[in-house]
Amino acid sequence: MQKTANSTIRNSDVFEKSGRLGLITSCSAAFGWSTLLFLLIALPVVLNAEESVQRAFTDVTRQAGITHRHHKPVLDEKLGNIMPWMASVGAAAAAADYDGDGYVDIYVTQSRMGEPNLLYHNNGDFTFTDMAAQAGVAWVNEEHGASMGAVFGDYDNDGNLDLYVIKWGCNRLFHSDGDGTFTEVTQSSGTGDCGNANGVIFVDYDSDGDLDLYVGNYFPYVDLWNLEHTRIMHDAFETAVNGGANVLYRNNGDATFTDVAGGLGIADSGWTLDVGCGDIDNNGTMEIFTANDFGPDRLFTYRGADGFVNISNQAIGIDSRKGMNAEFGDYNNDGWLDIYVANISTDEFLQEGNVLHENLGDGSFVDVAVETNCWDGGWGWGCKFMDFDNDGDLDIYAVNGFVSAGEEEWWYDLAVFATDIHSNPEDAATWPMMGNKSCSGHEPSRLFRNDGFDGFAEIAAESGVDDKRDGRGIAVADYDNDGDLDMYVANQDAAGVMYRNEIGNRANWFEVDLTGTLSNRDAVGARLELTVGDQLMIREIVAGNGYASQSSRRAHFGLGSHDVIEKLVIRWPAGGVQTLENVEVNQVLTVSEPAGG
Amino acid sequence: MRNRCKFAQIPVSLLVLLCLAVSPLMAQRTRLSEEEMAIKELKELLSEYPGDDVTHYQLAVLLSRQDERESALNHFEAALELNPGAPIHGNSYRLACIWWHEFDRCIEFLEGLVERNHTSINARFHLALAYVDKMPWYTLGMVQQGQQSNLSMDQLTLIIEQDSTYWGGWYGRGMNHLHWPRMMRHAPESIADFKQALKLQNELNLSQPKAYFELTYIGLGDAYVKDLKHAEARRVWQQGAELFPRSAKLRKRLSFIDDEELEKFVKVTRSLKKPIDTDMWMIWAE
Repeated sequence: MQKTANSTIRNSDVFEKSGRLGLITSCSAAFGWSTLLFLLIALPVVLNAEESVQRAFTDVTRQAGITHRHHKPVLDEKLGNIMPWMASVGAAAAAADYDGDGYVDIYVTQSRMGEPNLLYHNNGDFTFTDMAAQAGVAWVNEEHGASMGAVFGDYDNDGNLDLYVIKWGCNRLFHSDGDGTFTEVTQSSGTGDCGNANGVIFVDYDSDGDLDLYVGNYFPYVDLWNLEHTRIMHDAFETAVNGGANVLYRNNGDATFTDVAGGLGIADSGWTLDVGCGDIDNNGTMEIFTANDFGPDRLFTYRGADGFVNISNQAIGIDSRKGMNAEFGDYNNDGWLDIYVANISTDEFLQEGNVLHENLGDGSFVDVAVETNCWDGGWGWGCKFMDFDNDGDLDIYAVNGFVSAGEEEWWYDLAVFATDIHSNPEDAATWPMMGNKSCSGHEPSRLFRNDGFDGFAEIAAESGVDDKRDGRGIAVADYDNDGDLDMYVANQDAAGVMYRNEIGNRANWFEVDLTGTLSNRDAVGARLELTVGDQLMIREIVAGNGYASQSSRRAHFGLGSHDVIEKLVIRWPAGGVQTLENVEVNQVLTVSEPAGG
Repeated sequence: MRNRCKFAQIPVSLLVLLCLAVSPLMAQRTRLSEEEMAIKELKELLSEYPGDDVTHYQLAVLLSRQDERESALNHFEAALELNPGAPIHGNSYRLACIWWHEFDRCIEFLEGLVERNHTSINARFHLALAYVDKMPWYTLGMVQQGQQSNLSMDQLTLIIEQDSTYWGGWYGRGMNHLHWPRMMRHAPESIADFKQALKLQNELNLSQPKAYFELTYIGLGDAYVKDLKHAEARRVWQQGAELFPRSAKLRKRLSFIDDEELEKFVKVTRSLKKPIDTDMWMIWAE
């Protein structure tokens, strides 16, 4: 129906354009009227048809009733020389069906003190209504602190999604009352770390059947609104580890949590911007990745009594880039999870490139971003694997842009400062004045379409998603339950954008919601292995991977022309393995963990 | 019996090839034993004359060939302590450090050496080059590469202040500037330094140019390209080509007709992450 309506509009456009006929009648003798008419009418139709095939997404923000505009924080005036830098993060979005009505909702953050966060309830017709105030999760920025991210997860396995909000300032935990409202339980749960967090995931790291929280802190423990001094920054641009120590809240199973990061060896003090998890060695437990700014990214594996072991060197090597995003997905359908990390690339000043760590299956990875053409992401932030065209392989959407301000560029000042051996980057007061200059601003977002052996093709412009705002978090979900993946992008100091996918469901698809019974109820950590024809696809249930965002927990598979799923294997976190055969395509299936495991 | 039959089937030509392949191995074995003997003799000599820098140096070179990392570096360092201004000692020491990825050790040692011998220009020159040697090392990002280059240029500036006729000071600093991204605006400084190096060369009024003069023409032309002065670049390369008609590097540069292609070539060839050949033996060898 949608396609028909579009065609009608375009045909009328063509007839309007036929007014040009009078200008070119002299050519008509040579070609004949019929040929000329054909060219004038048919060619634009063909071109427009081509365009409609390729324009995968439509910006439906306004129609959806989404009015959210992010406001950046205003910090201590001692940071005035680099305030745009300091205030460059905080736009985040978390997608989850918080009220269990079958439609995915979105929680979005504000980062200015006094501004309420929003909880967009999905009305089921691709419109949304802000219910944050009624739900009791709006006013989280009224005290010192600013929201930087949020994640939904059912930490007490009561069937209702709870909400954890991370902040520069003290984090807050909201317990769902099961009726669409929440009650703050930060104090009683012991989860109010007052570091300056930028990344968070729910993960059952110890496989004990309840969700724990891993929080990535950026700055050390300072009050950014009331600084005693300005020596609060990273002490190097590529090797810094003087950031805030990360926190691992172990769920005690009684609605309280205990920070065990230090004892378990995962209190990474890098400048963590994002944390993510995935089972990279297919052994049933999840590894944790920290994407660290100004220093090495890290990969940890859990070894029970020995705690977490840092396996970065053997797995991913030594990294000196500006890690900002940790996203797991099997881009080449070989049965092993790969990792996509955002870094910084500019024309000349800094060319780090995004990294696609391809999992070789032996505990090591190799960066194939250049070879597969998903290297240039600009000043990267949130990146998500998603099969937007339902062709059976994972594509990547990557947003970017640091500070979009005036025409003058700050990069030169920054590069001179950074490479000057006499500079003291730790002291914010010594940094060059930023004023109204831009720094990697106005960058178009990237959509890397996976073309299999040919690598990725960057098609953001023709797909309608090359927005130039400073993108941060991407919340991917099938918001209208039509079988393809839509996205909400949270932009820094700008309006967010809701993109509706227009083409995905032209191909077959399959979605599955898992409910744990022995495992954690959200089934975080569950592995799905789907077989169609000779193709194997894997997905893992996660909560919060990817910078400043949480995508829908529901697993989505694009199936191309395959019209039956030969086999679906579910490996539950508790260890049980469930196999379904000859599953129907084009459906959202709900599967509960069998009582016997 | 079966093996014998098989052997009989091997063509004569293959047997000849096999013999040819084995003979270098035998030669290598002989050389090794000769080297081992030489090492023994040099060690004996050192026990008698422990203050002889040349013996330390020769021993270090032979130990390097046998991949005796620690001993070799120790003897290079002993040679330099005894004669900090010996340019070839420093050059070989740095090359050994590059081979074994001992960048930090090299820098630390040379920093100490310069501190103890602050008037030795050659020692300082090698320290400047040691910073550059570390730049392409894979753990370094662009910021650290830039920092290494700045450290190098600080030392080269001190050399120039001490002796403005020291060709290596101007050339080395020009080369450092050249490898920065164009947008960092180092190209004019690179041009100025290379021009000074060229001036020093010309002032020598040699009937036959020294081999390393070629490097200045290449570098100056490349700096002009980074400054988007393509005609100037071609003029300089042409001058160089007249002196060094067989220079493949100059010919390659002169072969570019399209300016954009030329810019791309120089951008790729002259970047902070591109290894810079700092083996300067030819300066002193002549």
